[in-house]
Formats: sequence, C-alpha cells, structure tokens
Amino acid sequence: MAVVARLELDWLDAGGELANFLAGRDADGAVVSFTGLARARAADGGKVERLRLDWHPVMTERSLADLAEAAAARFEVSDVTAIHRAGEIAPGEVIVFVAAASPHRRQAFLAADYLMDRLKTEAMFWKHESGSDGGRWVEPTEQDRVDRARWSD
Amino acid sequence: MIRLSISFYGEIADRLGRERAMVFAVDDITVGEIRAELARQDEAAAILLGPQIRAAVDSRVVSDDANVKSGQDVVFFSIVSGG
Repeated sequence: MAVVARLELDWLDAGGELANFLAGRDADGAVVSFTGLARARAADGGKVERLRLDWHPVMTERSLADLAEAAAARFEVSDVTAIHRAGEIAPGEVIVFVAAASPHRRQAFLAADYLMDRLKTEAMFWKHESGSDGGRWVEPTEQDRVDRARWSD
Repeated sequence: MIRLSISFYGEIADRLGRERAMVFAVDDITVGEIRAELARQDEAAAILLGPQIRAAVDSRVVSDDANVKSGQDVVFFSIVSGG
C-alpha cells in the first residue's frame, strides 16, 4: 500500500495528480478522487479576494500524513493520496486533492469521504480570508464539525 | 539559563509576530511557565493564557506541564482551521 501526503506551495495540478494515481493500476476496480477549490465567497457571503493558509514546516505535513494513514487503515483500500496547498491561494485555484483506490468502489468512496471530513477539521492549517471588508481568521464551520462527527474516530 | 526559539501560528501571530528568541534565567521551565512569563513581559501575550491556545515542543503537541530544555523549539498556536 502507498500512502502519499504532501504540501504544495505553488500550484496543485489535480488532473495531473489523478492521471499519476490511475497510471499502471490494474488490480483495483475503483478510484475515487475529490478536488477542492478555493471559493470566492466566505461562509457569510462576503467576497474573498485572497486566501492564505498558514502552515507549520513540520507539523502540517505530518497532520496530512496521519489523516491519510488513518483512512488507509480504516478502509479496504490499496492506495491513498492527500495533497494540500498552503500559502497564498486565489479563488478558483485547487486547494486540495485526495484519491483512494480499492478493489471495490464503496470502500474507495468511504475512504475519500472520511479523509476529507477529517482534513476539513483537523489538518494543521490556519486559514485567513481577506477582501474589501477586511480580513478574518477562519475556523471549521458547524457543518464541518457535523460532518466530522459522522465518523467514530 | 534556557535559550528558546518561540514561534506563533494563526491569529496569535498577528499580535505577537512569528518568532521570538528568548532567554530565561532559570534551570527548569515548563510550557505553562513560558506562557505566564510571556504574558508578564508583554500585555499582548496575555492571549496565550486562553484555553484554546495549544503548544508544541520540537513539533510535538504537549500539555502545559511539559518540561522544555534549552535549544528546543516551542510553538504556540491558535485553534486550527482544517483545510
């Protein structure tokens, strides 16, 4: 099994990552991937002109790896990848890519869903949105916490 | 004498900056004592006494009773946002 987790500081090519993840795969019947994009609107509807994800040089990437490992251990998957942007991110840019491969599609869907719910609440980032009305630090939303609570651990 | 690099992440970095080099004239110190000393020296650092500000030593999250040795990296961080 291969578990890949890394930070990208400049650009995340979701199409290229998916192509790499699919290449040479003949034992799995399913690959589920998720691509998250930076939104131009904040949760309160305000316009976001700039998103900054602050990160720690060791702990942030380790948190991605820990969560990807947890997804790999929990579900019947052969490979899991989690790649996350950090730093300055413009609206519309890819902010996260996850993929899970499995002999069976249900396990791949579950692994990707679980991994995203945990990344949204536990990945070690500090998110700052700024726009014409100023800037603010963002915490996980109530919906993020509800989504996380669907899983027992 | 304990020399430490102390860094701050998240909202607290807006108030306290990213990093401070500090020297404590003691032989032993805990994370909780570092919080208290920072708050004593700098009014803005009183934010570190809040319950949501967590700490890590050499990139491992620790509790306030963790002992810190000279040369270790201490991090205080606001609640994480997730990705």
